[in-house]
Amino acid sequence: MAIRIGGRFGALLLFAFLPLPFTPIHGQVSVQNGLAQFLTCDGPTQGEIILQNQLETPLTVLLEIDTLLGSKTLFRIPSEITLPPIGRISVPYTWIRPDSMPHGVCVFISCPPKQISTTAEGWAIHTQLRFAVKLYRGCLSEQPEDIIRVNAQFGSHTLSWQNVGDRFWKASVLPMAHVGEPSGPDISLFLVPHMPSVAMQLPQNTQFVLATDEWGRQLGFRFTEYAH
Amino acid sequence: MFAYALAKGNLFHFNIQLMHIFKQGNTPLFIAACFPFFLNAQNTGNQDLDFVIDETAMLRLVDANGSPASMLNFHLLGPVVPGQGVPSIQAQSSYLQYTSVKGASPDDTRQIDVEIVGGALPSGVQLTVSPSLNGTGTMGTGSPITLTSGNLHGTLITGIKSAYTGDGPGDGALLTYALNFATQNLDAATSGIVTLRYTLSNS
Repeated sequence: MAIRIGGRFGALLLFAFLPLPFTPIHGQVSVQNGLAQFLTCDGPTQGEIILQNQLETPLTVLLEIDTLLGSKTLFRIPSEITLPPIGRISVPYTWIRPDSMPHGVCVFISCPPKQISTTAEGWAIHTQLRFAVKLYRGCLSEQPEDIIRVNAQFGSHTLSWQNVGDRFWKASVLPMAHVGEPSGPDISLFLVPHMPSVAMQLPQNTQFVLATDEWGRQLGFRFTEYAH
Repeated sequence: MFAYALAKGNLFHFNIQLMHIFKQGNTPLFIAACFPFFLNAQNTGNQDLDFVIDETAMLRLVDANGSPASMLNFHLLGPVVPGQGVPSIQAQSSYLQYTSVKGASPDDTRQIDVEIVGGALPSGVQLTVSPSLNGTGTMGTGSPITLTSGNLHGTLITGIKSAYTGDGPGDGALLTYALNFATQNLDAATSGIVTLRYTLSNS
């Protein structure tokens, strides 16, 4: 008995055995060298974002720029890049015409949005994923006492820092129960000019805080209920 | 002694020790003591160990089976008895799986934000996304976010340091999506797709 396969049944059967077309799965790209970078004004003007593709097929990734500080026309990065299967790639970026002013951009990394069909009943929630990588370039302040504003909230043991100057400031903050007696590990601090204050939660028994910057300059605070 | 001095990177210290032994007139003792080290001298060396740790940021959304999830459907069925309001619908869920390896400031703390970037919730309809965090390490702190036509974004998880959720079924931050509405605010003409976007960034 001969089995004849053709017509619509054959087409259906053929479709069933064909491999399904590849559908990009959101979230299969990752960032491998951090979500924030800082280049000093006397250092290199080029950097890189390292992306990794977990898929066994090439993956297209979009990179969009949003300005945080200064002008985004001073920043250059590819807007789209294709990652090799199961591989990582370095996406170079350049600060062009660098100057001593503070600059910052946010690079949003995502896969192209999937085509979705509309629904006739109720709502459907479609989800997307993306990474935000913040990139800064500028000079570090050597005089923190002139550019830093600090507010302390005694009840919640919170210390808020704000940079009111034009330069960046990096420091290591040591909370202490008594002078010379740490109440917790060092907390790294990076303050961007003209940004809202950054709140830092401190261990409950903290009485003193000592911030030491790149040059070894120190700012000390006594954490009392009168501190402001 | 030689091995110790070599390991400490301090050959000067070793030479001082040799001079001290010679001065005491213990040459035979010295040779006997050091003979094995001289035999092995050519096989000894320094090796620098260079550690590079990726400052990883990884994120994906999966369903209860661990399969990629990018769509959730809410079908609001009419009531079975005339005069009743549209019954509430069951909340749905998905799992946000992530791996985070923090670095020094400015990338020492991370957060995940959620926002509506496509479509719109009808007036009077609220979508609450509630995270329940599970994993290893400093996973952060989750806060429920209620999205409406007037509130399109919020920070879902803050304070993520170095942590991972696991990648199996049921692993990850459980996200519960609850739709709250009142029948009088519903308009079937507004059915459609609402696109939510999750963003992992440094704080």
